[in-house]
Amino acid sequence: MAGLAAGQTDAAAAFVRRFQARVYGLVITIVRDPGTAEDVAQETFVRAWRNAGTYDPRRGRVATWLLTIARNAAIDAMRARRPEPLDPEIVAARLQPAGGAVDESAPVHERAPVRDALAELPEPQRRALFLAAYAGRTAREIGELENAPVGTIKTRIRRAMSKLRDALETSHAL
Amino acid sequence: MRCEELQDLAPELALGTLDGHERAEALRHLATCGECRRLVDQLTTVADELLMRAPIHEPPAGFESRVIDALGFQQRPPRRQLGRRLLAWLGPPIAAAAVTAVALVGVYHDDHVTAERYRTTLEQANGKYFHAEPLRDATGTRAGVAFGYQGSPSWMLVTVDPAHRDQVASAELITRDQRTIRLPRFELEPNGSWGGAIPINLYDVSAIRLLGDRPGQVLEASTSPK
Repeated sequence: MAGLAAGQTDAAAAFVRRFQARVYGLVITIVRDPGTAEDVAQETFVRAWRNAGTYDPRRGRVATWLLTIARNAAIDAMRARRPEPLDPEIVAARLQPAGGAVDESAPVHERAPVRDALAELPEPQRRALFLAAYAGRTAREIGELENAPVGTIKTRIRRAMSKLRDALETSHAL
Repeated sequence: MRCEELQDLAPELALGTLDGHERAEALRHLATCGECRRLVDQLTTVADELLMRAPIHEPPAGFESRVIDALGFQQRPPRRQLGRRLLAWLGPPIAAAAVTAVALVGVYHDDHVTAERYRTTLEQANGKYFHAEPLRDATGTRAGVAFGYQGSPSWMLVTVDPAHRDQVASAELITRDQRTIRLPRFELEPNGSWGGAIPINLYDVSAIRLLGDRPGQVLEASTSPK
């Protein structure tokens, strides 16, 4: 990160190599079009480079900081370009491919509870959660898409997040 | 805002989907409530975990070198191509803003009227160029706009979106040679704006940073025309 902030070419290239598959994987899940995904992934690294000096390691891992930038860039692109929302079920299918979790960097015992909790979420909760987490939709927007009251959507998101939080705590306690 | 209300909003705050007003209210409560802060921290960890579970997928061949080029480490022109592709999929509002900005720097030669007006405006105050860039927080979220004018004197104007106004206490300029110059008379108006002359030429400034009272509260905008 320091090398990226200092504008060193080698450091920037290493940084891109290390995270490009994660960034591109998240972005193409959201935007679905390879050409757009490449532009958005590229824009993600440009934004990261511009803001490298402001990255604060106390606020989280580099990967999640970068993926948050990628998610925001993808949402900007989606809102500008394509009015129809992404399909949460397609996202769910991609998140949990045959064989399980995709976060190879996490120890096996840390993956299972969260993966299982995601799989066990009732469909309405999972749809609301994914539309918020990946497509950046507000509860009001999700309510319009799902034809449900805002309060119902907020409850679905809250319950889903609560279950995942419990699963995460369980995985850390193992 | 009471703790019960914050706890209702906490999942959406962690997911980054609260609207500006609710977000501002929630952040104000968090500044004084450690228990709610802990809850939001836990839920933010869940939101981060969801991002980490996205599929891993290698981009097309040559991606790395195209990014390096776009970062400006090499003197090749694919950035223009990126700009054209970005313009192709930006929606009407952003595209309109982008077209305005492009016209302002004179790239659209066929837009004679806009270019002529721009030239005349600059001549009124011995100006060289006018520039606008989004202010972004550390995650790249748009938080406002910074405008700059290269003239005698050079000046800047910033407008900060409501959700981020509580996070701005001071401002500094970053020069092209990486010096930091504090803006001593900086103070955000209640409507989220500040403007004033700056002590150096705009073309010596690479970025403006608005800083909050807490670590990591930084909004930044580049001030360099591309």
